[in-house]
Amino acid sequence: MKTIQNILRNTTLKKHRGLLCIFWIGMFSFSGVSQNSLETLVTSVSERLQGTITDSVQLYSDAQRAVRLSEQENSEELLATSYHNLATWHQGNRKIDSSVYYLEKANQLYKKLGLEVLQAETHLTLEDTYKQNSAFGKALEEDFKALGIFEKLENQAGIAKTYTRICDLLYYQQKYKEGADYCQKAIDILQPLNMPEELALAHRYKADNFLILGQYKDALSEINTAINVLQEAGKDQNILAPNYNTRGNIYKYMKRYEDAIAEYQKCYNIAKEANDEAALIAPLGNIGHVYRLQEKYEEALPYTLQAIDIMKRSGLNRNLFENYMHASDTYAALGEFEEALKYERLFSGERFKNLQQTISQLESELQIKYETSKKDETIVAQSETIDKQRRTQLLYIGIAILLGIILFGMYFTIKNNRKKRKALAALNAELAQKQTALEQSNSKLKDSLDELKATQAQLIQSEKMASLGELTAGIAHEIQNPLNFVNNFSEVSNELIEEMNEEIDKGDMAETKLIAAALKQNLEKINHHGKRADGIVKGMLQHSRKSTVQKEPTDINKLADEYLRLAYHGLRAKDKSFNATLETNFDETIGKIEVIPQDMGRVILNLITNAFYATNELKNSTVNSEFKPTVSVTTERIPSLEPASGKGVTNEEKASKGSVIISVKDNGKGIPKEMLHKIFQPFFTTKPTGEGTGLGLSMSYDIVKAHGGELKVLSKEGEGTEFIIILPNSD
Amino acid sequence: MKILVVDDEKDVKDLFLQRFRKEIKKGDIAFAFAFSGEEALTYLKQHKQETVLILSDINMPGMSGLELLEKIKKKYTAPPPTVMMVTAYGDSENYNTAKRLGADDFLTKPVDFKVLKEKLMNNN
Repeated sequence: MKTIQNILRNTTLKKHRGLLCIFWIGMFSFSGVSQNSLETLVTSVSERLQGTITDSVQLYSDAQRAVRLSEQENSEELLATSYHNLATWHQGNRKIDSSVYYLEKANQLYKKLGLEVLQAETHLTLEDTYKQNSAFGKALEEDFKALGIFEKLENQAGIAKTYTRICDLLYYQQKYKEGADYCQKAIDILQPLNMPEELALAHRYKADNFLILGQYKDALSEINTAINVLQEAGKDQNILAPNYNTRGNIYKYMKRYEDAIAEYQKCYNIAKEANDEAALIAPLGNIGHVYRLQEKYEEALPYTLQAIDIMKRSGLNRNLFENYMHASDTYAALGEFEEALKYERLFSGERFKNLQQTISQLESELQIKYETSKKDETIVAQSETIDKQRRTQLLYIGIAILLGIILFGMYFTIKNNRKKRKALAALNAELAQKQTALEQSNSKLKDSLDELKATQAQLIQSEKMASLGELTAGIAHEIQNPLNFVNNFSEVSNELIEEMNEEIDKGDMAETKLIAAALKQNLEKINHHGKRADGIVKGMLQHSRKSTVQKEPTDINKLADEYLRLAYHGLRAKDKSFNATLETNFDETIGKIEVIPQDMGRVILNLITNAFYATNELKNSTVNSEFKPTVSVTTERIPSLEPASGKGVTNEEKASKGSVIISVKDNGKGIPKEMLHKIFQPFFTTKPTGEGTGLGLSMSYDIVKAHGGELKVLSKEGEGTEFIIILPNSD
Repeated sequence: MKILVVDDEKDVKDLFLQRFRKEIKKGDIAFAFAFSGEEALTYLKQHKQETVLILSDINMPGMSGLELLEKIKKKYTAPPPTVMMVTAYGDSENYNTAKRLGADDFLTKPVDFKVLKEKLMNNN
C-alpha cells in the first residue's frame, strides 16, 4: 500500500516539477519589468480587497504573485503588505489559520522595518482574524498590542479606532455594558477631531450595544447622532445605509414597526440607486421579518420572495437557505402547506449546497497548501518531505473528519426535514379530523335549531291553548246564564200561552192583552240571551282562530268588560275558593277604536289573569285576613297634547286624535325591581314549571307594538302592579 | 212570605215574577230583588223583620254570596232568616263553605223551579 502511494506521489511530483519550471521562467521575465509595476500590483490587490470581491480566485493568484515578486525584488515593505493582503484574503474562511500565518509574517517585517503604524494596523487585522474565529481572548490581546503602539505614538485617531474595535469585540463577547463604555471613550477622543465616519461608527456600535441591553431610547439617540454626524459631513448615502439599518433594528425592537419598515426601505432605496443588488437582500429580508413579527404574513411574503429571487439571480446565496426557511414558515402560517413544503425542500437543498460549497472551499484551500508543500519539497530536505507528508495525511484526516461532520449535518437536516413532513401530515390529518368534527357539530346545531324552532312554535300554540283553557271555563259559565234564561223564559212562555188561551175562552181580553205583553217581553228576553250566548261563542271562535290581521272599529270598554268577566270566571273554575273585587272605570267618551279585537282581547285577558294571579298569591301567603284582592280595569281617552292651530283641521291633527289608555291594576305583591326589565322577555315566568309558558306578556307586548301602541308597567313591591296599554286613537 | 233574591243577573227578577206569578197573585209569596251583596245588606237593614228567606247567588262581582251569607248569619240572629245558596259551580268546596257558614240549603244552576217551589212551600 505504502509503495503504491509513493509511486503515485513521485509521478505527480515529477509532473509538477516540469510545470513549476515553466512558471518560474514566467515569473522572472515579469519581475524584470520594473519595481513600479510591483507597487501597482500590490496597491491594486489592496484596493480590490477593500471593495467588492468579484473574482476571488484571480485575486488570490495576484496576491500570491505579489508575494513572490516582492521576495524577488527584496522589497520587504511590499512583501509585508502582500502578506497582509494574503491574510485579508484568507479572512473569508474561518477556522483556517492561513490569515494568522501570513499576518505574523507581515508583522515581523514591519517590526524589522520600524513601520510602527503599519505594525499596529496588522495587529488590528490579526485581531479581526481571531475575532472571526471566535478566539476573543487572543483578539483582545492584539487590540491591546495595537493600542500600546498607538499610545506610544500619541496617535489619537489610532487610539480611538482601537477603542471602537474593542467595543465591537466586547459586543461579540456579550459584554455590552463595557462595550458601550469603550465606544464612549472613542467618541470622547473623536469629537474634537474631524473624523465623521469614525465618530459615526463609534456611535453606531454604541447604539448596537444599547439595543442588546434593551436601552432602546439610548440606542435610538446614539444612532440618530451617528446619522446626524454623517449627514452634516455630507457623507454619501452608501455610508449612511448601515446606520439606517441599525435604526430599523432599534425601531423593530421598540415595536415601532412602521418606522422600522421606513428605515429598511431607505436602505433598500439606497441600494437600488447604487444598483447594488447584494445590498438589496438585507433590507428585503428585514422588511419581511418585521411583517412576520406583526403576523402580516401576506405582506411579508413578497419581500422574502424578492430577496430569494435576487439571491438566486446574483448568486449571492450565503443566506439563501435562511430565506427559504422564512418563506416556508410564512407559507405555513398562511395555511398554504404545499408551498411551505416546497420551500422547506428548497431550504434543505440549499443547506446541502452550502455544505458542499464549504467542502469544496476546504478542498481548494488544502490544494493550495498541498501545492505549496510540494514547492517546498523541491527545495528542502527529505525529512521535511516526510514532515509535509505527515501534514498532508493529517489534512486528509481533517477532510475525512470534516466530511463526517458534514454528512452528519446532512443526515440531521434530512431527518429534520422528514420530521417536519411527518408533522405536516399529522397536522393535515388533525385538520381533516377537526373539519369533520366541525361539520358534525354544525349539523347537530342545525338539528337542535330546528328542534328549538319547532318547540318555540309549539310553545306559542300552547300559550294560545292555555289562554283558551283559561277562557273555556269562563265561557262555559258565561254561556250557562243566558242559556238558563232562554230555557226558563221559553218554558214560562209556554205556560203563559196556555193561560192566555184560558183567558180568551173566558173572554177576558184585558188579561189576554197583559199576558200577550208579557209573552212579547219574554220573546225579547229569549232573543237577547240567545244573542248573548252567540256573541260569547263567536268570541271564543275568534280567540282560538290562528290569526286574522283585520283591524275593526271596536268598543274597547265592552271588550275589556267581556274579557274581565271571562278571566274572572276562568280563574274561578280552576280555583273555587278564589274571589276578588272587580272594579271597572270606563271612560264612555272613547267610542270605537281600530284594533284587532281578538288580539287586543288576548292582551287584556292576559293582563287581567296575571292581576288575579298576583292578588291570589298574596292572599294565599298573607296572614292579614282583611286583605281584599282587588283588580281594577280603567279606560281613559287622552286628547292630543298638541294645541289645535285654530286654522282648520290638518291631516296630521286628524291622524293624531290622541290616545286611549287601558289600565289593569291589582293590589297584589308587586314585581321585584330586578325582574321588571325581564317580564316582557319570551319564556320569562315566575310561575312553577308547567304552569306558565312565559309567553303571555311577551306576546301581549308584541301585539300592542303591532298596534302602534305601548305596553308599560308600574310596580311597587307589596303595593301592587299596574299595566298600561297606550293605543293610538287614529280611526 | 217575603223572599229576597240576590243575583247580579237583572233578568232574574222577571223570571221569578213569571215563574211564581200564580203564587204571587194568590199572595202566598212576595219577592224583593237585590243585584249585589251590598244591595242585599242595605235592603235587609231597611226591612228587618219582613224577610224570612233569602235566595242568593254565590258568584257575584264584589261581595260574593258566601260573604253575604256570613254577614247575615252573624248580624241577624233573632229570628235567623233562612238562606239558600245558588251556584253554577256545584262543587263540594262551595257547598261545604256554605254549610259551614250556616246556609240552610244549596241549589245548583240551572235552578229547577219545581224543586225550588216545593222547597219554598215546605219552608213556609
